[in-house]
Amino acid sequence: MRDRTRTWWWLVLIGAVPAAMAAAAGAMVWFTVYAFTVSPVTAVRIAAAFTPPAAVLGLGLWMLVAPVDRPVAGVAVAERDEPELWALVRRLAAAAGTAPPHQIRVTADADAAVREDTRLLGLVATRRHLFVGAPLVAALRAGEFAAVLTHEFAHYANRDTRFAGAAYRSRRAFARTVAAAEHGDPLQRAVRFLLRPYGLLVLRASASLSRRQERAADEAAARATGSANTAAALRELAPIARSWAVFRRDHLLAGWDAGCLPADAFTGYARLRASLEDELERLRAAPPAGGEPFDTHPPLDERIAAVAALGAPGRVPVPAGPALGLLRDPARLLDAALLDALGPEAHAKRRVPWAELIREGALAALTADAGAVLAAAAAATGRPPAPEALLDALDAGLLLELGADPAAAPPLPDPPRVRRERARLSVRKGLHGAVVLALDAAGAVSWRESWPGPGAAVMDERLRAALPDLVDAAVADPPRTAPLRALLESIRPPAERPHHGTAAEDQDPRPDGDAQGRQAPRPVVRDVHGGRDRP
Amino acid sequence: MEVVTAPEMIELIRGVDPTANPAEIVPGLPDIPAVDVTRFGLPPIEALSTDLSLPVPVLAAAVGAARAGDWRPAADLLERSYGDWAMRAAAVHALGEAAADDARWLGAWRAAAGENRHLAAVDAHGLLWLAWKLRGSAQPDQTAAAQHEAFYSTLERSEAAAHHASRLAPEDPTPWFTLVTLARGRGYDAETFASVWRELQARDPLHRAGHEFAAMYLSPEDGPGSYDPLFAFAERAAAASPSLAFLVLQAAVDYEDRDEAIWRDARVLHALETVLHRLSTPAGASGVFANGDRHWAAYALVSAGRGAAAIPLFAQLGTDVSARPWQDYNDAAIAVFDSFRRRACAAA
Repeated sequence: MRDRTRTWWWLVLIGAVPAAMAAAAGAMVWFTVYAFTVSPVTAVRIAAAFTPPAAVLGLGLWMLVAPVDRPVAGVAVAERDEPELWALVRRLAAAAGTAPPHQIRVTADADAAVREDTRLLGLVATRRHLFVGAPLVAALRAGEFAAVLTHEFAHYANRDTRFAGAAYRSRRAFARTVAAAEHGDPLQRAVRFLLRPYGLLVLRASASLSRRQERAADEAAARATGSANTAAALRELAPIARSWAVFRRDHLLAGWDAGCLPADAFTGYARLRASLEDELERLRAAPPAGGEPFDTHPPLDERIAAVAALGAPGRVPVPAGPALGLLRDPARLLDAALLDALGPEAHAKRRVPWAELIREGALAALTADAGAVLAAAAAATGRPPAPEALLDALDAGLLLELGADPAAAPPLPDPPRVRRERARLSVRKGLHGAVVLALDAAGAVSWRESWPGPGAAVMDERLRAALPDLVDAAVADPPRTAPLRALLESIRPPAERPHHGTAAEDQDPRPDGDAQGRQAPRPVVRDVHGGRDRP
Repeated sequence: MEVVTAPEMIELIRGVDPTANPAEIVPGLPDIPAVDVTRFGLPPIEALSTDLSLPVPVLAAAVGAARAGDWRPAADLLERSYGDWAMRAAAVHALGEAAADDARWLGAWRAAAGENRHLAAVDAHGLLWLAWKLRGSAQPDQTAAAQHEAFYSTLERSEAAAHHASRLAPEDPTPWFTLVTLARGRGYDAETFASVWRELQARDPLHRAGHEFAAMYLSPEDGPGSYDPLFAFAERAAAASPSLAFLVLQAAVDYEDRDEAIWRDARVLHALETVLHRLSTPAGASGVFANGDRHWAAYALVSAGRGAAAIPLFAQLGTDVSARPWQDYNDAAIAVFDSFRRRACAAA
């Protein structure tokens, strides 16, 4: 009963907020217009001060009242295709004390959610959807997966969900508006003064309601599926979010520009998770605090402790084993969800094994790196755009010309060393790309998976050269291009190879020999395309 | 929402009313009272300079010669002052910047004198400067991938060069100061940083510039992290020597975006008194870093609402805007320095 009262009080509060915001914005506009009728000069000053807060108020208002019937994401799962999943979902909804969803959709997000289409600020609900993230299915055990779903259903069993939906939405809008005004330009900081006290009041007032909702949902999940499953699921959420973000950023789209997608994306995701195990284990051991400054979820470690303290054994039967076992055709379904998230273009991509994806993506990136520099070398030497022409231009002392970036126009001209260094780094990247492309064309490079890295190119053992060192030498002051020329020479087909003086067929024709022959094979590049972000 | 930059907004306000103080029109804009600072004996804004070598005349001569291609005064200074680690840190910092702009004098030095400990220290610190110049000072999302890559790869070279320099001069803290300075950009974890910090401390426990950059490594800046380790570090250092009391003010400058009330905090005010007292002694008022203390103290006095007391400090600083906290504002360093002078004078 008290919950019900609090919920109604909350509804009044969130109703008051948009009304007050509209009133404030309106008052500013009215006052400015009024000021113009009195003194236009003063009015300009007032307008300068009022425009930004009025704009942010308007923006915040729009965020609050905008309809939330987003186009539903994901792939619908028909009951006849996946009867076991549907049966489990029905059992869990019943255990949580609420109705099952009208629809189950698998998405490519690292979370699960139950949403209702609502009207009138959440007062009227129409259809209920269960969204299940494919990464959760791929990474959780069936029991943990069931705990996550029960938690989501339990929000509806509290009967305040439709209001909570509105409460949640307005809270998020406020958090976003206040947080955006936190670290912005002076205008946004100015607006902060206006919005912050009000926003903080609303957020604080809502915090206890929100926390109780989360705790009640955790408890329901524990009672239905067991404390162990629920705690394990809560621990697993951050590792899944982290590994999925890395997967999407570094791997899934590595061959996109080259027209490729992995044939078996979730096998790659599993390998990535295995390679990140140490980092994920740390996340499991010490769950991160909430991300957004005004988020009102209770801290994860508190929630885990509360769930564990219940010591609930669980009463809904859930099959043992991974959540994937709940699906009859998991590979097809997860893949469909992934393609759906990537948009219509994804269907036109070639589906290739990971090693080929790595090669295709790397070659596209290297070609892009090499293009401008090779073109500049061709223009400078009048020869075809090839690594040899680039080396000739470097020997001719044209480093600055080769590395000039026509697009870059810094406000102040760079000092001489900075300009030269920029050119050197740009030429270095282009030369490296051109040489790896030549090596690949000659079949002297093999491409391998290197989880969690985005893949590695390994040079033919017979060449025994540390490519980065050779490229460094070629762009150094003064340039030393002979070792790289020798390398390029050694991969040319014998018919094209000019005969060099007295060197016999089996002698190393490179004037400097190999720079180092200690460890072979060496990775040509550790991260062939871009690489992971650095600290 | 369309983002209007602060300078655009100030221009807009000035266009309407040239005597208006932007901070009074829009909270958050710089506080620039319309005060003629020259009436208080301060140089006009046009005369202000961010030249690093400015505060130390002997250093200015060496840097000027280096920029003109002559390496000898720099080599002389570094040889003569070897053992005066404060001077060496300031010299390597300023000469390193000159080397990052144009390294031909370093090349001539190396050709004439061969590899040596002075050259190696300047080279390592110069690469650190070069890394930052290649990156630029814009926010990460305004910085191109190529600039990030250049930054990281050049920082790695600086790191290697600093280790090389430390092998040539095992007793010299300066290469370790370079490593402390690049720790943040290089993303050192706590362990790696601690090992570098121990080496610096073993050679000069009160190394001023090293402490300044260590505090920058410890600062959460815009991140969500805690300021406790930073303040604890600053207070420990301040307790060890009044020459390091400025660190508490530095921590307060970092913290003020989170809460401006930090300028009424007793620990901060106590540190401010310590720095001011030190500046009133002959030793404190004349060292290589005397202006460094004056910069922090002037900023703190104005922020703490005691602007009038900062006027003598601004008078002693003259045209020098070469240090933090102003440096943090990059291209706006002189404008912010000037606005603080105006606020000081407006309070008189």
